[in-house]
Amino acid sequence: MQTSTRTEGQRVVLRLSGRFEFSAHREFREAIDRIMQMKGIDELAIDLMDVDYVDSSGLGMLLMVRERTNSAKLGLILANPRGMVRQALDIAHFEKLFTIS
Amino acid sequence: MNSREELAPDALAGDHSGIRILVADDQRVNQLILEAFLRKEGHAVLVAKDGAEAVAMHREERPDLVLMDIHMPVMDGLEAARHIARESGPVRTPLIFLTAITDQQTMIEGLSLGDDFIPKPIDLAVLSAKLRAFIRLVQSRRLLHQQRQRIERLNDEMRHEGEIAAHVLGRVLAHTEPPDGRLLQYRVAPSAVFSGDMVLARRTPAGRLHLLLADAVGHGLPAAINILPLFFPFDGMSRKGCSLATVARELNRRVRDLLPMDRFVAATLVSIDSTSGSFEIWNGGNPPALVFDAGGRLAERIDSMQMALGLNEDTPGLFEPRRVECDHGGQLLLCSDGIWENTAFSGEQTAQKIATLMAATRPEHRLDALFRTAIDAGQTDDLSAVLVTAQTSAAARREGNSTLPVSFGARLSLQLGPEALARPEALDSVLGMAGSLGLVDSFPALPRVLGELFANALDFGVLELDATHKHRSDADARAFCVERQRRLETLGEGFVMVEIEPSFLHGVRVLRLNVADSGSGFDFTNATGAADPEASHGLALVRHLVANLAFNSQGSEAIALIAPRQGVRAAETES
Repeated sequence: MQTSTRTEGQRVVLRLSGRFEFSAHREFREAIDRIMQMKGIDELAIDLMDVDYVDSSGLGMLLMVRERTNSAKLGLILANPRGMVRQALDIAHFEKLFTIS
Repeated sequence: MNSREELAPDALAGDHSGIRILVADDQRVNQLILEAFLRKEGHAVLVAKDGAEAVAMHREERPDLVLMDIHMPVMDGLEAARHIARESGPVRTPLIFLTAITDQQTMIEGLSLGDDFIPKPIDLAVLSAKLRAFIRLVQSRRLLHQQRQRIERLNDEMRHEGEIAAHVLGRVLAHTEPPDGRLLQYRVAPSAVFSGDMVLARRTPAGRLHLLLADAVGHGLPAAINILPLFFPFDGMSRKGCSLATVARELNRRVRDLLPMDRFVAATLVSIDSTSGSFEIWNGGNPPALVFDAGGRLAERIDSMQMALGLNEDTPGLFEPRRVECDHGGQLLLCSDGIWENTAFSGEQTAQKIATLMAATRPEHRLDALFRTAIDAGQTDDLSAVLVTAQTSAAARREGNSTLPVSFGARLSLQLGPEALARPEALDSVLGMAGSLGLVDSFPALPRVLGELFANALDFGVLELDATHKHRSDADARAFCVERQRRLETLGEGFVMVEIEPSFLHGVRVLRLNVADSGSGFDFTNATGAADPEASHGLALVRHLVANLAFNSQGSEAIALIAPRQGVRAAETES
């Protein structure tokens, strides 16, 4: 999995691509660590457009981010899930925990 | 790992650190010169006077480096080097030949057994320079050896821990009910040694079959550890006859309490009434459960209803199961995402792809076909599936089962003494037992009727409270409660006896409920004024709910006949 980060005003967009699974753990965590240290940010959007697979470890990582953004009082959005990723979020009923757009 | 091992390679890193050197030379003069020189350089020196002695000393002392003359009596240097190479094990002791011979054949043979040559007569400056190079080699070999040992030890520990975990998990899972191949088939195929998927089955006292298909985050041992805490509550609560919603809620609570926040367990719970062909199902975070008709055609899908176990709030409404009717011979298929996302089925129309496979396969081979197809397509995740075949009541009757729960024919008889009566959950535990026998399902009026009669027996029989105060005013009611609690806490003797027994009334099955107490009784026929026992004892309600209500002459024993619920009665009279 690859990550790229860009900022749009007070919003930071973390774009993931590839397979979001256990092996992506370190890369994902490092990206989140960097974002959590940024100043003047009020929202994190995780762009899932180019993610073609997510497993339960990936869903677990999203829960971890949610915990961190909640305690840092940051907004969190999961953006553009499609195909299998959309299905996995639906099955997990993550719309109850996340804003999905 | 301990810190000393970590430090050891660094401590050896300096160029001047000494090593242990074995010198093999038959010339006394050479021995003396080399020994003196090497000691001065800071090394420990062992001296052998021929090849055989060198081999023996190498075997016993395991030096770091060997300096070997070639021409020696008893055993020459090349032969000794051959022995040493053979005995050195995987990390060969570095060996330098000391020789005046420089013919090509000797050089080639020597370098196949040793690492270098130093020509005689020995130039001590050259020897010193070569030694430094070899010391670096010795040190890096030593480091490699230590790391290798550490890895082996960690590997051993891991294997040992794995064996213990496998033992425990195996023992736990051995306690679940095995598939019977007819009503129930299931299988779990781990992708690693340990499975993060688990299937549990347990019969309730009333004969319902409770099933759980659980899929924890990740794979391998951590996932297996994450599903382990589900076993005991699922098993214990099913044995007690708890409802599916109660079990699901407790499992959610356990996962929430025990697992890290990024870990959860997708789970499907099913309760099967094997006599009616209906299921209750709760799907939290698993792929859809699929219902097939007797021909193997997809009849219904039960999508994930809530989040996985561990993520849901502890709110009762979230765990209510859905009821699904199934024709005789119809099947219910549960599978984990390992099957749903397998390349054989994934993408669009997964349910339809599975249905096509089911319809093309004989019912008894469908589970095998599902696994074979998934494994042939390439297994990347734990795979698990459960296939339940429905039997309707008509078919069940043909096979000699009773339409009513297995408990019909059972008789529940309990006597509660002072200590039991003082516990607030006394009535709950009686009702719980009746419920686990399936009696509440068949006779829905039982809890209300038993509740009233039990309260009367305790309050007015055993505790001898004055019924006239109970319903007058708020103040009276409060005083009544305070007095009731005081008498309960100081109760030294007395009992309430409850008997519940299936019976017949005019050819219809009813439940006979008998509640007696140790009190002096009450005149239920003398209904006058404010003390009207029909009102104060809630008897109007009871009469409304039961087919018949009678008291013994003292009024210390009540006998109620409770009719089954409408549907059950109809089924009974029809047969």
